[in-house]
Amino acid sequence: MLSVDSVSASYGNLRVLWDVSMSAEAGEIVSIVGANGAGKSTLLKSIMGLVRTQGGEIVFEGTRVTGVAPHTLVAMGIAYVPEGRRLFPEMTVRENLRMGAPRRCPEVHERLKVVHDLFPVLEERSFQLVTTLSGGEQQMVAIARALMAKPKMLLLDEPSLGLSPIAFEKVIGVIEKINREGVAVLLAEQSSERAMEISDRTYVLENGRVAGSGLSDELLHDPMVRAAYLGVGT
Amino acid sequence: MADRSRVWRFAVGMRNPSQITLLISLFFATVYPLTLSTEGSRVLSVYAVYFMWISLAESWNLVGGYAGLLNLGISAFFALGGVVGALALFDGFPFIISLLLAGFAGAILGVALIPTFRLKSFYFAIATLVVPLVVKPMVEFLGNRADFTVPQTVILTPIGLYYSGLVLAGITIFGAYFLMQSRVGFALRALGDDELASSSLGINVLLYKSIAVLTSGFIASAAGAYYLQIIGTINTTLFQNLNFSLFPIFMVIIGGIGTFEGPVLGAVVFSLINYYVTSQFPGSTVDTFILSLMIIGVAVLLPRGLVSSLHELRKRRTPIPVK
Repeated sequence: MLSVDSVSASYGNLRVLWDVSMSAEAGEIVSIVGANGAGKSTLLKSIMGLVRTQGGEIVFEGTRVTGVAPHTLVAMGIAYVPEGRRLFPEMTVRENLRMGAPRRCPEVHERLKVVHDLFPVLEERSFQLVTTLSGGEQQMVAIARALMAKPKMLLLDEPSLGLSPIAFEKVIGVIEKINREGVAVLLAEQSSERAMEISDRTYVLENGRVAGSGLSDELLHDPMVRAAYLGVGT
Repeated sequence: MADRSRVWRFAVGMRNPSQITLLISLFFATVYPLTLSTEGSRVLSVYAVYFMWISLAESWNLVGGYAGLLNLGISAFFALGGVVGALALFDGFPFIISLLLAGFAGAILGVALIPTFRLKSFYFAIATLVVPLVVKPMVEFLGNRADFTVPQTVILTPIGLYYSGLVLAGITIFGAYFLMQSRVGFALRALGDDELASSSLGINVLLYKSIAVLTSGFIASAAGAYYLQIIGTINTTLFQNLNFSLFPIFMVIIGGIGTFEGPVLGAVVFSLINYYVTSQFPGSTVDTFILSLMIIGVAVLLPRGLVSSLHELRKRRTPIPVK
């Protein structure tokens, strides 16, 4: 469904990604784990066309999408939930959700109903400013807003950021539910262990390079990975 | 039918006190000239300046207030509109056509800004500062002069000037209101809030920034062609006249940035204070000093402008029932 082949990216003179290759298939949850600054966010931004890549190519459903504008990618079926949620603070929950739907969208009410079924609390809070919501609820708005585009694949950048373990568990539950409904998920997460537990496959990034990859179950039980990335002694 | 219900929904949406005040003011502004004698109607041309500033402030607000792009060179659009308006009048076009041609020239100048959209906000502001410096010599070269004075015969009568200004300001105000209630307006507000988030949601950043800058350019240039009717002449020094770049910004800050009624209130309040201060200290720079102090004061004490502060005051005074 999505394949990234030898992609590099830089911020000015600082190279952040070095020949990164990865893939995600339809219906999968793929996690990208690694320390702070490993390049997880940059990888998602590169896929989304928010960071210019150097070399390599990105293919989505058989179409080369390297350097394609974000709005075109959204129309093709990729949605992105940025790190830190990036909600529109001056808008209500409903308005934020509305922003996620395409400009001319006759089925906007149906889509709202779908996300309200997924997040009933957001229907109750429809006319509240998003800034009045708790961190967990704000994360739900961010995910729901991305789902308004009816994506085939959802890119999630650090959904655990600033959330209590209980709130994060709720978000994890939602991610699994979305995936069960047929949306592929690419999850970049510092809370590596939990991300690996819910994903099918994992890529481990280190200093902008893929340091390891494989089935999440296997990596979770690999003593070296546990020691190096999950902070668990051998 | 669907369109009618949409217009109705917009219209009934205008129900907060400042919007109602605005509608009432427009009504009185429309009937006011009917109360004047023929001799007394000369005073109407004084109000033309207010309509011009309202249009210019509303135009700046579209880009600076909603889309979050700091345009420091709106004087270029304004002066270009004046020049194009003069050339159109020379060629025998009626006033309304001169206004439209000026507007289109402003929109075309807006197109020239499109390559700068990828710049970060600070650099975009610097780029807009350069626009008047580039356009002025081009206009002087192409027009082969610096002064564009139109004959008195093509200048509107005071009552014509008043009503055309009222229509220009009215179209600008309600145009901005309808635009901001539409999907385009929501996209612009989102862009102004967070460009990365907007972009990742599929909002076509380039398209919406272009809509904002082209619409704003159209209005600012049309206001320039209207200004020509007020003073009868446009000199190319107007391109670099800081007042016309900064005053609209001050007006929007005073009234309330990112609101559609803010620029109207800001334009009226600022123009009144400006008129009072300059008449108290003629020929000195004290007026600039006082106006600058006032802007700093508003920025510190009422950072969201008069309109938002009035809304907050009203909210505070409204009793909230306890369950």
